[in-house]
Amino acid sequence: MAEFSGKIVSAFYANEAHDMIKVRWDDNGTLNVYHLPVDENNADFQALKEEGWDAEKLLNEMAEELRGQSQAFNTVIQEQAKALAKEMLGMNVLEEEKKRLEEEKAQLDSKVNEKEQVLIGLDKEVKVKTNAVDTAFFQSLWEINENKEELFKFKLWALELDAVKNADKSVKSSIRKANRISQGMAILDELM
Amino acid sequence: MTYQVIASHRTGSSLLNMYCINDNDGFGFHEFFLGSYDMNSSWHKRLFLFCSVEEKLEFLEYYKSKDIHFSWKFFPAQVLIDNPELEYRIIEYFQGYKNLTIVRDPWESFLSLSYQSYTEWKTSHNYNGDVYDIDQYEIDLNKIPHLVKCWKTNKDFLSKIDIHHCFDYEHLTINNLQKYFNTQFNLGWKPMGLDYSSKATNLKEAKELFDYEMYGTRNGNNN
Repeated sequence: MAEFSGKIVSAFYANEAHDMIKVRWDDNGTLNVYHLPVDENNADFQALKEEGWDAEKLLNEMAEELRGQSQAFNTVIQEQAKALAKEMLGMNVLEEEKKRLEEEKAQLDSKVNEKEQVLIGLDKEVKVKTNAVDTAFFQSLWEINENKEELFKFKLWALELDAVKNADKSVKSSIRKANRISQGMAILDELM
Repeated sequence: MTYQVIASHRTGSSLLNMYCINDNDGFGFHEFFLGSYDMNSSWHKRLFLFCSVEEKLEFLEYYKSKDIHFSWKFFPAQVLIDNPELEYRIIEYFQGYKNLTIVRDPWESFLSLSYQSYTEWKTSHNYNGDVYDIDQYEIDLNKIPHLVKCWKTNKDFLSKIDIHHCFDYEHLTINNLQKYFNTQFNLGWKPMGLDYSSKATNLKEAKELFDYEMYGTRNGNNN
């Protein structure tokens, strides 16, 4: 008689060699697991046989156990597969979202490039026009150089300058006589 | 000090003024208070195109205060008939300048003026011998009272300022001006050379009215 005698829940070959048996037995609500060799000289083996656990029964239990394990495994696999599928599904959504965002980004990048080109163009235009204005100022000055009206205004301005007021009478006379603004400016330049 | 011309119309004032401006290094105006709204007019008229009489006077006063002086020609009646309140300021303005004027028989001046008015000032001066000459013209009698009033206003103003020199119209020649201003500047102008009396179709009538307005009598000259 073994410790598990009369309390066996299940027993089956624990390996494919069938030289080890796994016994599950109930000890007042606690499930115990015990391994014993397949050995005619083993007392526990004999006790197991005495309870009707012969080779056939052990094989059947083994098959049942394997089926159960397989089922459990399949369930796990299924669950894992489901989870994976879900994950993959989520990934797909993310992938799609990513793709959508990438397309959107590409469109925006294109627009940004477009705007950038416009800004560069405008910037060039401003620079050109700024340069033109600068040039236009001097061109304008050149064109009014002998304009009598502008020459008169220049003389009024020049004669009020402190440097001219404090200068010799001949300087004032020269400014009054000037025929061109540039001529007048040359006189002022002498006072600097 | 700067020369200024204060005179009546058709007394040689433009000729004299040209020599004054030349003496001032070319710095000056002609008939400064003559209004113009013509953008095609000469530059100094365009410069003051929309200025009032007072604004023009302020301009002159301002620059005089800055010791910047212009030579220019002033016909007192042109300003004082419509702006008598400005007289004291203009008198003050001319203080310190060498004020020049010209004496000419007012009737002769009037004849010249009436001819110019009739011909719309086509050639106001003999710049190069090309003078607009017509055989006959009619003196506008309606203008006589106003023109006499102008002449009297001018004379009155001249009595209130210091006159540096008074030229006789008959002696206002380029040769004499060159001597006076000590210059070789030759403007090249010549007298008009027109006999207005022979051209006027209503000379007698005009003379009577002129004498009446000027002297209070229809047959004499009390000037």
